[in-house]
Amino acid sequence: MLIRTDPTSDVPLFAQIAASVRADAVARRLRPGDRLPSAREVAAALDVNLHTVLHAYQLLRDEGLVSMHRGRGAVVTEAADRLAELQDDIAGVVARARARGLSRQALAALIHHASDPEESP
Amino acid sequence: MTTSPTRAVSRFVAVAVIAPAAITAVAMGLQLAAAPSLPDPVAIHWGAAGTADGWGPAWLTLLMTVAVGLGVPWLMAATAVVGLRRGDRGPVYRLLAALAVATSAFLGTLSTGSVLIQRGIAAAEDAPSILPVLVLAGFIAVGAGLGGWFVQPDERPTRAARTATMDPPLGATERAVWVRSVRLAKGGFLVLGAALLLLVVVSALAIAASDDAAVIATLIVVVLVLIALIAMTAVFRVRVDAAGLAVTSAIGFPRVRIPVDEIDRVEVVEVSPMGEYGGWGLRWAPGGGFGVVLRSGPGIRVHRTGGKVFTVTVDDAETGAALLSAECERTERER
Repeated sequence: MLIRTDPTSDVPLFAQIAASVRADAVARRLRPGDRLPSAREVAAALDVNLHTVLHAYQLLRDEGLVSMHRGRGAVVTEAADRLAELQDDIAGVVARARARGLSRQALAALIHHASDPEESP
Repeated sequence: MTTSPTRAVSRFVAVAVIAPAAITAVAMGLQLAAAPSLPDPVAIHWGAAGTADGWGPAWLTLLMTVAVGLGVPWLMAATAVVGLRRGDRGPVYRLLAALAVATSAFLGTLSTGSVLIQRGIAAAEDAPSILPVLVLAGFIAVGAGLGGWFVQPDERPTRAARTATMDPPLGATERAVWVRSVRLAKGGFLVLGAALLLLVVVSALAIAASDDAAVIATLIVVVLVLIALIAMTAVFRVRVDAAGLAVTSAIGFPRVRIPVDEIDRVEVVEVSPMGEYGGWGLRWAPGGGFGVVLRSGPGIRVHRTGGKVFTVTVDDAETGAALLSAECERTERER
């Protein structure tokens, strides 16, 4: 799986890591039963604090995308397959937004608004 | 030069399956024809000096001609024919067929020769030296092997090495890591398991026949070392990050680390374990460099600055190679 983070971004690092793992599930790079790398390994590779990675993993566990097992670490659940079913829709809306000259931030804001109009910025 | 897609397969079968069968048939025919003029028992074993020192019935030689002269080449062919049929190619297959026909020619000549030199003698104790037959068998085996090598076409796996790039590209301030584990394919497990089983059986027989404690201890150690080696190389984790490429066995050793500043270029390749590396596991191939080859299919190939090549087979190699390339470019820009 691929995790991308940008320390200069406004988005908190743990949220970036969680978003990367979700994107891996959507792209079917992560399948149910796959084990996430240890938080220690990810923290060292990304040069972030161990607790930042653990925070991200806990967020994903709360979402049901991974389950935590003592000794086995974080294991991807069946939810990954349901997430992957969105791939075509997401790729489609991104392509159509790009064709219409919509910026990434604008598209993200629109999706945010559509999914939760009350909390929209 | 045009070669039909199945020519490598048909020639392989001709060299490794049909030729040994024909050689064995001729050997059996000659031995059966000589049977009436043989002593009983016949000499079946010769000492290091070339004089006969072991006796047995004539059918024993015949049985050995079939069991070893045909059984061993066919076993060699059986390990390769599945991969070949799937479209796999490579010099290792060619070599395997050449070795199969050479083995058959050597054993066929040796066993038949050992029978023919005993025609007309009264007792097996008078059997002449086996050495001329041994030399002849050696020459015929080399000839058969060379012939077997050259009648097969030199087909290489279509090596569509390609470079991979990230989408979206890696930002200047971005940090990224790609991690993936890869485990030994079923075919590799079967071949290694069969080899292990054979070794265990042979060791058990040797231990039963031997009362030498040193021999028994050595055989047990060899079997245990082999089991440990298979366990150590069955699962690997592959990681790409800003430091470079790290390939580590599930139990921590062996491990390979290649820092980004030692990498010249990165490719995605299709790997055929049998054809290129002659098997599975930690492998070295002439011209192909060192590799962690656990299954057929996509892999990351790294060309190091010194000209050395390292390959690891891994799922989603495209993404890993793309990140590794991006990290290398970033290191180069910063220099």
